[in-house]
Amino acid sequence: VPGGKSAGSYPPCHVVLPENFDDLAAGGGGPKVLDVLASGERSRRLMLLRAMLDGAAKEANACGPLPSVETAWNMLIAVQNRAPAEFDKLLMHPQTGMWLAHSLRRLHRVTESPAVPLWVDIGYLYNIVLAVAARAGIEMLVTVPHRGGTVMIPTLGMARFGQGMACGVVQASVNSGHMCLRTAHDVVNVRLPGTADSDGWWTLRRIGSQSGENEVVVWLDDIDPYREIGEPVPPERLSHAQTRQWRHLLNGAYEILTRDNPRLASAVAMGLTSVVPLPPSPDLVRSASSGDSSGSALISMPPDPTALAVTLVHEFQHIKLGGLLHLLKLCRDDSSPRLYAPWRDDPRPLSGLLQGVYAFLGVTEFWRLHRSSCSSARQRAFAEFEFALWREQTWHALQSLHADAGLTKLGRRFAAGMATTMRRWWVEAVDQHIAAAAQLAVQDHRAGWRVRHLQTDSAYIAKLARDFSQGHTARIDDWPTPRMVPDLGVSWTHQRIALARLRLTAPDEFHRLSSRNAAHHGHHPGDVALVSGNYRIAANAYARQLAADPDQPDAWVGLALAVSAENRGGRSLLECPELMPALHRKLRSSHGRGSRADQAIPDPRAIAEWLCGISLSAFACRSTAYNGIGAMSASARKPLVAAMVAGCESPNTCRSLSIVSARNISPSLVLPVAR
Amino acid sequence: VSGDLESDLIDLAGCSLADLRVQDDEALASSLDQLLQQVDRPRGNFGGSDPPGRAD
Repeated sequence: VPGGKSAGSYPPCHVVLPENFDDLAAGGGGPKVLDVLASGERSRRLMLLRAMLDGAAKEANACGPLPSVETAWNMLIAVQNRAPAEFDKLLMHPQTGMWLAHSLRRLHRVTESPAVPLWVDIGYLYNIVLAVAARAGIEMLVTVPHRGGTVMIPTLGMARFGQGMACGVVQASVNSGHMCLRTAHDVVNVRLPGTADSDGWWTLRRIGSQSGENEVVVWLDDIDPYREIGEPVPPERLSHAQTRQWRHLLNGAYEILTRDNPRLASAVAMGLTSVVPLPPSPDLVRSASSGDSSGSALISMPPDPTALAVTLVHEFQHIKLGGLLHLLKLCRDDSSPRLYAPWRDDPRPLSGLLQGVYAFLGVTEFWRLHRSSCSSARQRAFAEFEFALWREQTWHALQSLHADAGLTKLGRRFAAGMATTMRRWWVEAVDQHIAAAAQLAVQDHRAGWRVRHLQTDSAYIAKLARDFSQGHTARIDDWPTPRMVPDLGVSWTHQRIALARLRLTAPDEFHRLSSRNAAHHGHHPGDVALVSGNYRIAANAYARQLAADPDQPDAWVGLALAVSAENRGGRSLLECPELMPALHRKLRSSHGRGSRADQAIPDPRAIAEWLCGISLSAFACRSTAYNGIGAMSASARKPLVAAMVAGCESPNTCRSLSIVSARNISPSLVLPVAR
Repeated sequence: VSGDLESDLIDLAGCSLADLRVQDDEALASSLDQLLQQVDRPRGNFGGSDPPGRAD
């Protein structure tokens, strides 16, 4: 990285070459780009190390019974001088980044860890010194902290002295190919490099996979206290069988990545250095990553190699973007959750949306490529569904992102780079039935989000209630922009998308389901009917449920989907699904206040069908609210979105493309206009 | 946006710990302020195989 800003004797700053930035924005990032990010990360870690040592020096008793900060500096300098390459390995170890961040947060009083003295975290410095010495064969005598009876030697393993001990210190030495750790009562001897478990010693396992010319080797970290996000955690040692399973999964996943996208596979091998197993979650894979521990992905045991492959891609995207964000500012984020993200149940801040879009750019590309290499028709159908689903959802979110005023100039360039990549994918055909299933899932989530988080002005709902009761045609000419009132307490079942996937991957099992036996198998009869295309049956099932219990957002959304599908061209209901429960609530409350005895409680289905009659044109520039674009004026919004979609600087070269987001019309329909 | 994209992060390539230890506070201050803001406002990315959900 050539030096950038420099004045006088000040060190230069990092610079990113435009082609490297654009490569990352497009979703890529080969060895050269990853080198740039790694170089930035190294500087960042060094700066944080200096800040932590400075902070500790000012803090009374920051080192407790351990030698002083002065000694720590001297020992770190000594081991770096003797073994610079090994020192760098320790510095760049993902868990070192998390340790630095956590220790600084403790020094800044941003986080409290009352159960563990500060000096145990700060004193981990000496564990790093010991690790460098052990790896490089440097003779060493050093005092290190133990955390409840365990001592992590990063990148090597963990010495264990017993459970339930208070934190304390251990005398450690490296000599003649051996490392010895000793308390007043116990001793752990490790023959270096310590790659085998022994009495009182758990090695930090490495698992790897080679596929063609590509090879990936990662730490399988189940012991390091700084391996997770947030507070340090105790070890959760995997069994040998679990380790074998992880090895098998990584082999399979890496084979898939190498076959489908060799360039990505080699980048993953370079940029991903640690996999942290999370506790298993039935029926799903959980994963996480943090900019603090760049290079590490936390993943629960996936069911198969494909699930691991797509999860690795997802987290690798976060790792790349996190590295870039450490160098350049892409958005000015106020952290307020205000945007619709199609992969989240809750509103997201701009920075979260940016991360999500970039992650799902990678996920979409994964499925796009994988659908061509699947070995069975069912797997191919599943991959095609995922491609169609995430292409649509990522594109939608990308439009919101690009139009948001919180993006910096560079952020806008980054979003445009993602759009350039995605635009190429819209010419690729998807099976018509699979595309329809994906579209249903798209509409389902958008409607579900609106029903839960948006509220329309009560006076307007009262007016709608009068119109409905008097038999007038539904009109929304004066529909006020709904307010966002996040409701995070109501759970989503996501059963319909699960059924759509089941229909593709296990059609026999799906076809054994019917609206009659659905409940017996744990499904809503309406969901089964809807996914089967039996819209009338579905609408009736949802309406029955809502008549009995109207506080069911999933059922309202199901009703909207079914009634819209029944009334072809009745998309308007899906543009404002939040009006249904609000109107029903209003009519119920009116009914309870002295309505005529012969006046029935309003039928949810009748409300849905009435709202279905609203003219779609009324929504042209209204339903964009809370997709991010709604935060801007129409005049500001239009050229931004148009320029992004068309990939051109001048909005004059494309026409009226802001309608893409306004009407949720697939961009594939409008792209030819831009060309 | 044209030309190289300049970061505010000081490039410490070739800078030893001994050098870093005696580096002038003022030279690091601007870069460090931004870093510490990032550290004090950590952001985790939580993903999953079964979105939509609580995953980015």
